[in-house]
Amino acid sequence: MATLATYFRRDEAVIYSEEASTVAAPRPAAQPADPYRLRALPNENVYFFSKSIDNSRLQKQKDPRAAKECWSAIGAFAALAMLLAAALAPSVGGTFAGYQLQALKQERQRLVDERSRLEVDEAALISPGRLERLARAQRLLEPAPGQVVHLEPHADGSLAMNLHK
Amino acid sequence: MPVHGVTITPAAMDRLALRGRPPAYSRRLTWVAGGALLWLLLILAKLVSLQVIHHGAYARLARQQQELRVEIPAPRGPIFDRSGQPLAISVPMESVFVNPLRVPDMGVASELMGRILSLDAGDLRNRMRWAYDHQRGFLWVKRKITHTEAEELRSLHLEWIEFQTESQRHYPNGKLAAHVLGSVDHDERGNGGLELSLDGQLRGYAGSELMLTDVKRRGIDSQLATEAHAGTPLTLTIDSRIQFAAERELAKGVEAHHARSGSIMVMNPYNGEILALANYPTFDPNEPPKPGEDPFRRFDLAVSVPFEPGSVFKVVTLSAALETTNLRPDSPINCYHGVLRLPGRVIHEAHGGYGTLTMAQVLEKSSNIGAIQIGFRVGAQNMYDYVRRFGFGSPAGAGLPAESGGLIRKLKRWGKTSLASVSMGHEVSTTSIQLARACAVIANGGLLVTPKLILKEGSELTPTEPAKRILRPETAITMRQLMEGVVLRGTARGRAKLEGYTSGGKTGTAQIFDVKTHHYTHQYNGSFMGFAPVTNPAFIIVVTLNGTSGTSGYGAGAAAPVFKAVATEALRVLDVPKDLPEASPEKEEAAPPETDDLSIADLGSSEPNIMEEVAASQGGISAPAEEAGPKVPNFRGKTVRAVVEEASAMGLPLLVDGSGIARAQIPAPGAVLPAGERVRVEFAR
Repeated sequence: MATLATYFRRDEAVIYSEEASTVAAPRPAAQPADPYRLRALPNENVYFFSKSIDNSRLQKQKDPRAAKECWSAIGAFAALAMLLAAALAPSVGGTFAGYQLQALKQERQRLVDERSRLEVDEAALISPGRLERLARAQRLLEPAPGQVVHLEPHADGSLAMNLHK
Repeated sequence: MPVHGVTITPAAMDRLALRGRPPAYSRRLTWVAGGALLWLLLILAKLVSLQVIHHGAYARLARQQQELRVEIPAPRGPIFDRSGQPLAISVPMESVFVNPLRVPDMGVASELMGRILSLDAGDLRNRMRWAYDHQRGFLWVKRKITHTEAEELRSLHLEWIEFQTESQRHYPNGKLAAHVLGSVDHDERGNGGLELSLDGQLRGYAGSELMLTDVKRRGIDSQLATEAHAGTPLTLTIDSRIQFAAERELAKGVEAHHARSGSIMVMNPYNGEILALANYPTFDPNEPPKPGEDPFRRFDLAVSVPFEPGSVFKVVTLSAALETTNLRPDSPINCYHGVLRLPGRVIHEAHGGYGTLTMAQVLEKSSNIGAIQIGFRVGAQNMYDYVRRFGFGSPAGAGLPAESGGLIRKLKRWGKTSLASVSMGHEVSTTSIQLARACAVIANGGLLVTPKLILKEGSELTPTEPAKRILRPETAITMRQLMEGVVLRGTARGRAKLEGYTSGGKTGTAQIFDVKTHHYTHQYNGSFMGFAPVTNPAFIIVVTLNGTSGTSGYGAGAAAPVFKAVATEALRVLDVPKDLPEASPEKEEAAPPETDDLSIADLGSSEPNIMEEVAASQGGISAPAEEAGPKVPNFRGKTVRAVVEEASAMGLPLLVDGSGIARAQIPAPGAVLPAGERVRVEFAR
């Protein structure tokens, strides 16, 4: 795992690993560090100390208690998260509903305006003046006196053809 | 020291500096803790400052940033006719404005907006420059733009172009009922007609709501700040179909007789509902008044401009006589052969002269001297009382602005010949709506109704003013018959008779007085007021043409044909059952214009008597012509159908009353039916 220390102090890590290896196999004296080199930060050797760890020889031992505690912690956090989500859900839902509501309100107003415009258009289309112009253009005339025949109903309620009786 | 398999040398331990420094570490930890505490305290102090001390200011800033005040539109109330057809509607429209102080380049801006809004770019640039120079932060670019223009401007996504929603009043039928509706100004405030008189009800009051917005100004939540009050919708008593016919026929009449103006009213006589009210010339309320435009065409003549009514006023004289004297329709009236000498004044009959006429004939022939004689029998006090009872001298109360009450001089100011003048319709001035009200009294059986224009306010029916009885029913019915005689045998013969319906009316022609010369001119107010059908009138119509001339400009020649055309249309629209056979056996010849009535009056004894100037042939006494016509058969005991068939076969006009078997008839069997008369048959089971 690359940490800040390993990133910034790669060279020292190499030195430490070399020093560690000298325990098993001594080497000729290492090149001494430059005593006049300025340190970048105070105690950087502490904060930027890095070491390589070889865990290959470790064997993970099953610890049921720790596992249980771990799962308990996970469960507790999950429950907490769900509670938090449940607590926040109405607010979030309300916000989204608010967006939708405002959008619908605007849509409604737009439709009301549109309807008003259409009512004006409709009223202009069926105005008596326009209808009369159209009627004249199609040569529709008012019936002459006597042209309209009012049918009198028979006893059975029928109207048609009673002129010929 | 092996740690996890790695050996750390002492030197390395030294480098780690983990040994031998506990006191310094502890001290530093203390410092760090102190620093953290200080940091927390600073945060706390800042929080107190933000949340407590400066809470109001920051909350205000937050509101400004997050809240948006949105206007809730409240459009002006629409106006409908009685069948629900819109006569006036307000439609939301966008208006565009800019803040000249924020416009980056006025030249480009004016070119851009001028092209889209069809404005002169130079003029717009000058306006913006002026506003900028005067540090004005608001400038209307164009108000009430079209939807397309607004969309085109929005698509530019320029933040300095801003919009405001306004409302535009539309009158979709154009000039229809323009004088009733009136018009509005640019801010939708009424400036005429009902738009003015009912501005309070019609005007809407916009509300507002506070909207919580996100960073993109999208609404999240809103809270009502001020409630909007939309204008009340009004439903008028006007019937747009009858109104259209009235306007069309009035325009034809005015133009055909070269009149200066005209007005017409159609009214339900029982409840005073005005079915049509029109004037000519008229205007389009969609178009605002232009500078220098003649305001005359915007005058509601029928309501606001009184005139001397002339002979139509004889209806009032005769009604008063029937009520206050023992005169009856067949009572003889001496008409002095056409010349009547009064103190300081000589009255001539307008055309010819009559010896003795019955009271019914006085009305039919519109004899001025006969009317004066009847007026003398009534007396000044009674005449004045009845004139006032008929509603003359006070506004009719239709609810229109600038309504005139006409002019009736107080009795103590009447001159020696005032009674004579008033009896024939002079020395009084009335409006068409007052005449309509008076005619309604005859048509509805003697009740004075208040004209009504508003049928509903919102969904609530408006109350009808209770009618006031001013005539006995029998007087009104007698007057109806007398007025029917005018149409059948009198001055309106052949001009106001309707196909398939009975009708009654009275013509009137009054010379127009010139206030400059103090003389009556040879221009007339030609009027006709009538109703149909006679037995159960569906409406009354008053037509007046102002400024006609010549004999064709008399009331019978100019106004009665307008009545006939409008009444025919109105009867069809209102689906009134016919009370006469539809096809007349033959066309009736119209009465010659010379026999039309013309009532003349002058200002007083000191003024020249204009009557003398009227060419009037001094004819002899007009004896009643011997009546000739078909004999009436005996209908009694027959069914309706049999009677109708028999009458149709003989060409007899018939008035059917009731159903079942014929029980009575007028004229009696065997009698000669006079020309223009009809046979009334009463049926019963």
